Amino acid sequence: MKISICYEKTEAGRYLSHLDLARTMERSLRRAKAPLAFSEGFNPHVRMAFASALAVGVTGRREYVDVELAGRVHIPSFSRALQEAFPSALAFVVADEIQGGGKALSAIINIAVYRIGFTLPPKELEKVRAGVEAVLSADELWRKPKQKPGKKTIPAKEVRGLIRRLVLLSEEEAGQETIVERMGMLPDEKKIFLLEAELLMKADGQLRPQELWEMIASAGGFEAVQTLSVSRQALLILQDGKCFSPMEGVLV
Amino acid sequence: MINCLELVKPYLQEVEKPQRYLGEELHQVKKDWESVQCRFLFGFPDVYEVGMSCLGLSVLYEAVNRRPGLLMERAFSPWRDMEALMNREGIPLYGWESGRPAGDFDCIGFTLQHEMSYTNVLQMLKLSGVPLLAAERGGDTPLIIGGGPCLANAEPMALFFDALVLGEGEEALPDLLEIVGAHKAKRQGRMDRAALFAELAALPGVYIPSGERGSVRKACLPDLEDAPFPLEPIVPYMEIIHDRMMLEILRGCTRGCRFCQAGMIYRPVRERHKDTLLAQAGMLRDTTGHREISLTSLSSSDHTCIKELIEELTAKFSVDRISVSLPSLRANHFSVDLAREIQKVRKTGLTFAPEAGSQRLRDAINKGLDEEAFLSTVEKAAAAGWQQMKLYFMIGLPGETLEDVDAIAELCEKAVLAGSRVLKEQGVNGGMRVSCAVSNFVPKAQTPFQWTGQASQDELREKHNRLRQRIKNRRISLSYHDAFTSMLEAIFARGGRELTPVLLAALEKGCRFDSWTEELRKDSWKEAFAEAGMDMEALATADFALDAPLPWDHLDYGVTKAFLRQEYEKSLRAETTGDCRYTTCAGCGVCDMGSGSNVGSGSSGSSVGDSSGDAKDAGLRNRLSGEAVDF
Repeated sequence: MKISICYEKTEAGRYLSHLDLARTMERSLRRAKAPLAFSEGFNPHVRMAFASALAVGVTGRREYVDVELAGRVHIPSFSRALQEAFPSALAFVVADEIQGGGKALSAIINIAVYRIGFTLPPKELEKVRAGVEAVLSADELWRKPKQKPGKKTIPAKEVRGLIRRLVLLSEEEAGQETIVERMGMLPDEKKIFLLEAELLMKADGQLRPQELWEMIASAGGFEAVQTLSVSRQALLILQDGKCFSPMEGVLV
Repeated sequence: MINCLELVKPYLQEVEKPQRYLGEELHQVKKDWESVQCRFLFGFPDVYEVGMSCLGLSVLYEAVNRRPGLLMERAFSPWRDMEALMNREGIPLYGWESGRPAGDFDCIGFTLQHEMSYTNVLQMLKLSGVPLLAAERGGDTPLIIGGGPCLANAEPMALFFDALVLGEGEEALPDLLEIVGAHKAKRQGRMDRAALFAELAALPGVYIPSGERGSVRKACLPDLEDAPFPLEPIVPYMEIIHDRMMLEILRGCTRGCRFCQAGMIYRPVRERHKDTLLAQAGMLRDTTGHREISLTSLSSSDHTCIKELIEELTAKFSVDRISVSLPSLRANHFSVDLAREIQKVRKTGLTFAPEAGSQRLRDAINKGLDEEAFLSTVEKAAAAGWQQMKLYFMIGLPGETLEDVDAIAELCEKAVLAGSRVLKEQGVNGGMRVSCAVSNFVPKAQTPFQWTGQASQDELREKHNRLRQRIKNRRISLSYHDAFTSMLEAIFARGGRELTPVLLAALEKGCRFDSWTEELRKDSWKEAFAEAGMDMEALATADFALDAPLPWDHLDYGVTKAFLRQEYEKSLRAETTGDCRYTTCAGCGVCDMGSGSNVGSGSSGSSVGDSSGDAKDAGLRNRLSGEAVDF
């Protein structure tokens, strides 16, 4: 039996790396007494596949993992057990059986929606707006080649084609975000703003939210200050011009 | 209320591994601050990944938090980047659970697991805003306490502590904290330090460095069956050094290796019953979800039911692919059988510790491992499919000659030949590979070698070079420890209170994380000693007269000085002493302590072949050993 699990990587899990997350997921599954299936060999590991790795410092509101089980489970009671087994860094959303020869989520998910939170003095807001405008109206945006000592150079890449949507949310919308909890830390002359970006995920390249933020800053002529929060709001499947959620019955 | 966790969060993106500083793990205990009488902050003087691998921390977290009137939180050394950030932003050290500043706690404690963590203790004290020297503290400054194996010679660190707890902390620590709580409750939350010290000094194991230097006997549990043990331990998010369940199967060791401090200070030998262990293992599996369980002790194969324990554990856990690991195996056939059983789930490495290359020197240190038995173990391991093994040796042991050094190379060579021959017979090409890990002997307090000086730096380096030249076989890889680090260890392992200013100077010069090879600042240490007018090498190499008073004479670990001296004299004649579990009483004195005696009547344990992975050379191996429950 194969199941898909939708979960949240919460604020408490913000700084988990993908490996930390995988370890935490496996331990949660074990505590929930999932009848796990294992790979063969000297060092058997759990058969699970994450839809898309999430970077350190990024939270996720709807994340997915496929898990192969050696036996059958009753989804509602298994869901309850998993919910209880998750530590505070993860929150259970929903689980369901993958019917028939369903494709791996990582192979079909192709859109990620990010929210980037940052603080700036209100007078800088015009520059952000200009930066967003400039990015959206550009025909091409080239990411510089990356060179790390001892590693293969990553060639320059056109990334404008990866940006499907980019908006600066209103103050009111931003006000509803969890980052407001950090308001106590903010000096009075600054405000919190939120950008929402819908980015295409392609096998040959993705645009990281941090890179997008730097491009907007450079186009708008302001300093790419450290972001307050980056959160992946959704992972979606774009097919025949329509967008839908990977798991039926889950509202995104 | 100040919450430092909230204060640091906005800056955490600036530091390496922010997860280290956040807590919020599964099974973290958050108690109501006002509901208890005494709040205790346990400081582990190394980073989170190291501290969370320490079974002792986990045991004490359980032992203290299970008492209704007490609360224990954790703190770890911030890495250099985080320390700079905290200083820049004016954020003090805090409790990982509540985020409260260290200064809010009634009592702050540090574990002294190895000498190279001393500057980190001072770093944490400084970040707590507490005066470093006990003499400078007064009024309501938190009580600063300490524990851990380094108290075998507490003197170099003594002046930084208000009270020290010798020996096992499961009962002694919460008892002490309850007295602190009651003391403050009687005085409307104030502390009368002199009166409190007098109350604490009456407890078993408590040493008040500012008081008179009467003899203090270590705290010791009569048996382990009823001792607190964490069955819902914290499950960290980030990868820690020992990322697995831990079960302490056995405490203490009476093999009597003469260099080994752990073998002397953790006596008597006490076992946990097999059925208790199996039940505990099942609970840990359910509460943690770990995929590996480690059976900790100084010498695992000495547990009287180890074979049955491992068979039953493997049978119970293999369906979930949970593997068992045994950190300290003696080099004998029985150990290879145990390792084979463990391999059924997950492939495991084999490590043995012959410690010395020649028979004479092994006898002198009471390792007594017979070469023939050792090589036959290697053959058996090869026959069972192992194609590599790790061997631990020590260099600079008392009485070591250049021939003894050469014998290390020869023994490794013989192991390669013996193993390769068996492998070839089985049609496996490539042969046996041996990694030879050499540490430098560090004389330790409360051992038969406490009187002997360490080999000079030149001698250690010369022997390293010699060994490198002697090892010709490409199947043998050699690694050795830094001689300078070993010299520092030796100085602090046998030094006295005169080292206090050196530690203070080292702290000011930026010394931290001295056990991390890349962090050790040798020049700063050299300056610190030079400014105090001390010759490092002279301190490390000094031989002490047998009848001279030693800095740790008043610290009583149950093993008598007369026994240590007798063992030292036997070592000069290369005479061995048997293990009292299998032969006769050697008269170490611990059974006269009135708190249990060496138990365990060898049944499945083998009494031949005398080697284990427990060499306490005080290097990295020692740093991470999780078997000790004293704090």
